[in-house]
Amino acid sequence: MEQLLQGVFDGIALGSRYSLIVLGFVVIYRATGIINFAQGGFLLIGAFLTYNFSQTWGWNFYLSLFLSMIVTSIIAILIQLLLLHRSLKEITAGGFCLLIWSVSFYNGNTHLVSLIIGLIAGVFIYFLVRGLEIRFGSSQSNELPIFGSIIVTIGILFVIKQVVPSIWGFAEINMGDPWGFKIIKAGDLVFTHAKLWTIALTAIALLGFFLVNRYTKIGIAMRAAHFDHEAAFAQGISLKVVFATAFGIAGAVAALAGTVTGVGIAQLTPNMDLIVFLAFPAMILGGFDSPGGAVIGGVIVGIIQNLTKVYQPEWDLHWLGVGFDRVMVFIVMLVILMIRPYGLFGTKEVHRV
Amino acid sequence: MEDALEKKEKPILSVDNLEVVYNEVILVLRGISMNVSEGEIVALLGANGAGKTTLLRSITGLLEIHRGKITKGSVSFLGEKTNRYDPSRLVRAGLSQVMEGRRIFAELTVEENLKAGAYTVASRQKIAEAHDRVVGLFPVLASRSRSTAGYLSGGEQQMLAIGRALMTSPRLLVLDEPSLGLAPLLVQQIRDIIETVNRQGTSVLLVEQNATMALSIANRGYVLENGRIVRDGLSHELLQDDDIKEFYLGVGEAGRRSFRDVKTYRRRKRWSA
Repeated sequence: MEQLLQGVFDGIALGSRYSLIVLGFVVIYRATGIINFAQGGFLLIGAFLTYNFSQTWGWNFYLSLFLSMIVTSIIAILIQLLLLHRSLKEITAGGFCLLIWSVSFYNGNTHLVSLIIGLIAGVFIYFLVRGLEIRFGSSQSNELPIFGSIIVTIGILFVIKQVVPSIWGFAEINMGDPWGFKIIKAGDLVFTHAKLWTIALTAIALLGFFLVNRYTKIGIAMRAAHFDHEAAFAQGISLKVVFATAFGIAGAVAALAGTVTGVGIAQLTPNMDLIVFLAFPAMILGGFDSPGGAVIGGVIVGIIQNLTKVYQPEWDLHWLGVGFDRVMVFIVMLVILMIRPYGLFGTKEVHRV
Repeated sequence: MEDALEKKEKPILSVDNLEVVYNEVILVLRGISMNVSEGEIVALLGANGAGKTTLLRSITGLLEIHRGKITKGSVSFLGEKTNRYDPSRLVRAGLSQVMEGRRIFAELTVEENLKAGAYTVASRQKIAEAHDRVVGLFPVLASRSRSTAGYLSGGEQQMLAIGRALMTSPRLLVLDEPSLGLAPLLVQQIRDIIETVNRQGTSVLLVEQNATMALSIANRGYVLENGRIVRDGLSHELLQDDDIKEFYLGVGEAGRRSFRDVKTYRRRKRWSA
C-alpha cells in the first residue's frame, strides 16, 4: 500500500512537469492552431536562464525562477511576432538573415558585423522573393498556411538548440536549487522537498492561468477567439494580442517546467527538451484543445509512467525491457484514443456533410 | 425622390463606387455607391449571391480574411476613409456588427459573451452603462446571464448577438440577416428591438432577405443584384414598386392562377446582366 501511494505521489510530481509542458502546447494550439514544436526550446531557455540568474549571478532561486519566466515569455512573444504568422517572403528573408549571420560569425567576424551582413542579405532575399511572386503570381494568401508555421516552429527549435549550448555549454550542470536532498517522512512515505515544491509551484502556476483564462478580459478574448476566430475579430478583439498572449503564457509555463525538470544533481543538459516528446501522449490523452484536459492528462501520464517503473521489477516483467515505463504511456494513449479519439476532454469535431 | 434622399445631414457611412474582387479573380461588387445618414435605418435587399455579405465585409473590415480586396472606390465611416482598417479599429471608431448566423461564442456564458463584445471599451463605467442598456433591451439575457450561450434558444441567441454588438455603444450597427431562421413572432420582436435601438440614437444598416420586415422599419432601401445597386429609394416607394413586389415580396403579377404558372415562373426581366 505504501509502495502504491509512494508511486502515485512521485507520479504526480513527474506528471506536473508534463502538465506544464502540455499546457504550453494547448494554449498556443487553441489560440493560433499551431502545434508549437519550439516549446522544448522555450523549456531549455527557461531552465538555463534560471540557472544563470541563480548560480552565475547568485540571485535568490525563486526570484531567478520568476525572472526567468518573464524573460522566457518575452522571448516567446518576440519569436511569435517576428517569425510566425508571416508571409513567405518575410520568413525566407528572416531565415537567410539568421543563416548569413551565423556563417559570418563562425568565419571570424564580430556579432555586430555579422548581423549587419545578415540583415543586408535578408533584405536582398525579401525583395528577390517578392519580385518572383509578382513575376510568377503569388499565392493568394499573404500569410503562410498553418502547416508552414508549424514547420517554422521546428526550425526555431533547432536554432534554440544550437544557441543554448553555445552560451552554456554541453555539459550536465547543477541547477543549484535550494531543495537538495531534504525530505519529509510520513510513516513509510518519503516526500522530497524537490517534488513537493514541483507540485506546489505547478499548482500555483496552473491556478494563475485558470483564473486569468476565466475572469480577465484577455482570458475571455482568448476563449472567444478559440471558439470563433472571425466572430471574435469582428467584435474588435485583436487576434495579434491574443496570439502574443498565448505565446507569452506558453513561454512562462515552459520556463517553470524547464526549471523543475532541471533541478537535482547534473540534470540540466541541452538535451532536456526531449521530455517534450514524453509529454505528447499527455496532450493527446487530455484532448488537444482543453487546458483542463492538459493538466489532468499530464498527471495521469506521470502516474502511469511512475507506477510502471515501480511495479515492473516487482512483478518480474523484466523481459519487457528497460524503459518500458515510457512505452506504457503510449500504450495507454492508444487505448484511450480507441475509446475517445478526441481525447478525454477534447472537443469532438463535428463535420457537416 | 432626389431631395428626399438628400434631406438628411451628412452620411456617417458612405460607400463610393466600390469594386471588390475575391482571390484576385472573382469580381463580386461592380461599383456600388450607397450611404447611411445619422439616425437612419437603411435596408439592403437582395437575393442569395447578390453581394450583400461582401458589401458588409468591406464595410466592417472582414474582407481581407476572406481573401477579398477592394480594387476600386472607397468606404468611409464618419468622414474617414476606412478601406484598409481592421475590425478592431472600426469597432473603436463606433461601427459594430451582428454577423450572419448569429455567431455567438457558444462555449462561453451569456455574461462572458457580452464582456467579449466590450473588449475594445476600456472604461469600466462605460461597460456598465452599456450592459445596463443591453439588459434593459433584452431582460431575458439578465435572467440567463450565467448559462452557457450555446444552450439558449435561437431567438435568445439572436438577442445575445445584438446585445453583444451593442456593448460598444456603436454609432452605426450593421445587421446581417437578423431574421434568419426565426419564427415569425420572434422576427417581430427583433424588428421592434432594432427600432428601439435606432430610436436610442444608433444608425442601422440592415441586410435582409425578408424584404417585408426590412422595409417596414427602414427609412430607405437599396436593392442589390449581381454586385450592382439596381434600385434605391424610400421604403414606402420601394414597397409600392411592382418589380420589387414581384421579386422580393412575393406578390403581384395579377393573372397568374394555376400551379403550372407558378412552376414555370420566370422573372420577366433582370435589372442588370
